[in-house]
Amino acid sequence: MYNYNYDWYYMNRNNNLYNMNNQGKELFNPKEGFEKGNMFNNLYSGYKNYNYQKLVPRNEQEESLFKLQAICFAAHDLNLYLDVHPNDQSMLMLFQDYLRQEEQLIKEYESKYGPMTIDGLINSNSFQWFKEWPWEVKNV
Amino acid sequence: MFKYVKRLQYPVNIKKKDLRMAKYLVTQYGGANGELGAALRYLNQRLTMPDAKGQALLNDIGTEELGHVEMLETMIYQLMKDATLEELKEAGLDTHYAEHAKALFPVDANGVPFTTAYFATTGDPLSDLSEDMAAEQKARAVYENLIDLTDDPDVIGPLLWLRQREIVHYARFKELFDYYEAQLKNGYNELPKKTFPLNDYLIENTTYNNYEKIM
Repeated sequence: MYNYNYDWYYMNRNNNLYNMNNQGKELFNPKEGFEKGNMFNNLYSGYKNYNYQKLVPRNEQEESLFKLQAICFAAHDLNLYLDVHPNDQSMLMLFQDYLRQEEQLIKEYESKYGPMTIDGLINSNSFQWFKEWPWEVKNV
Repeated sequence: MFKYVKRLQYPVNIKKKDLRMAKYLVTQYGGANGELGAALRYLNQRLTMPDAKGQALLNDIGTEELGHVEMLETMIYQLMKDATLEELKEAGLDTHYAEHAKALFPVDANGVPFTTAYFATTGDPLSDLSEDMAAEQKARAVYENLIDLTDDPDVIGPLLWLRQREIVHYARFKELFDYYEAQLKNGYNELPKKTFPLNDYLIENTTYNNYEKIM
């Protein structure tokens, strides 16, 4: 185990723009939203004095995975919002920006650590589907 | 159709076995307010929601709940996998072992097996959404009970996260409920029950007459 320099900064860039256009509907950045389980500041509600879990990656693979999970989560939480508010154009733009980041992060992750969906095996020279099921504890 | 993605929605890495906790936690897998019931409830109800908003929301939350079933399975498996037979007996899981060994089986904390009676569907959007809102609140309350029952941060982290998702889902269901209720107050005699073909007629403020023409 080692202290990995964890830089989420680049993920914050779009939220400032979003907040300027939409007063009162503050969004967390994808890292914080993912850790809290909620992208929407006005909906967030903690339990007793518990703090949400800070996700500290223990190696490079976990760092890539957490980033990917955070962006996928952010896009999904905006997806649920857009289901009920389909005409919110600026939210749609932010949603699409997260989708673009998601696509890129999945591509990077799969190129290093193997496919996440079965069709990722298309260019693989072996059937590398068996390793690392997500229910196994990952000891580092 | 559904397609498997080889990752969890949120990481679960429980290093310490805890059979008592596994026994409590299973209720959010196979209990009345659990994730399996939620997933099936929403994926069932989505077909008869009156408009595209309702169909999309029930579809997308139902799909997320399947991801939560997977997280609960992972938590229970990790809490149990290293247990000896002696430890299982001590924790009162010998009865589980007799029928399932260490395999997962959806029951509640008292061992009552999962039943489809947990997901009510009436075909009435306001009643179904009230059911869904109640389900999210009940699941939040159960997650809080479960958090009270453990001091393992590896377990508390995912439980806090799952609890937060109940809060978000409740808020979205409530928005949809309020929207449908406002439609009724604005002169609809009833919310349309037909759902096919999929259309966006309610997204713009069309009248009930327009709706009939579209169908």
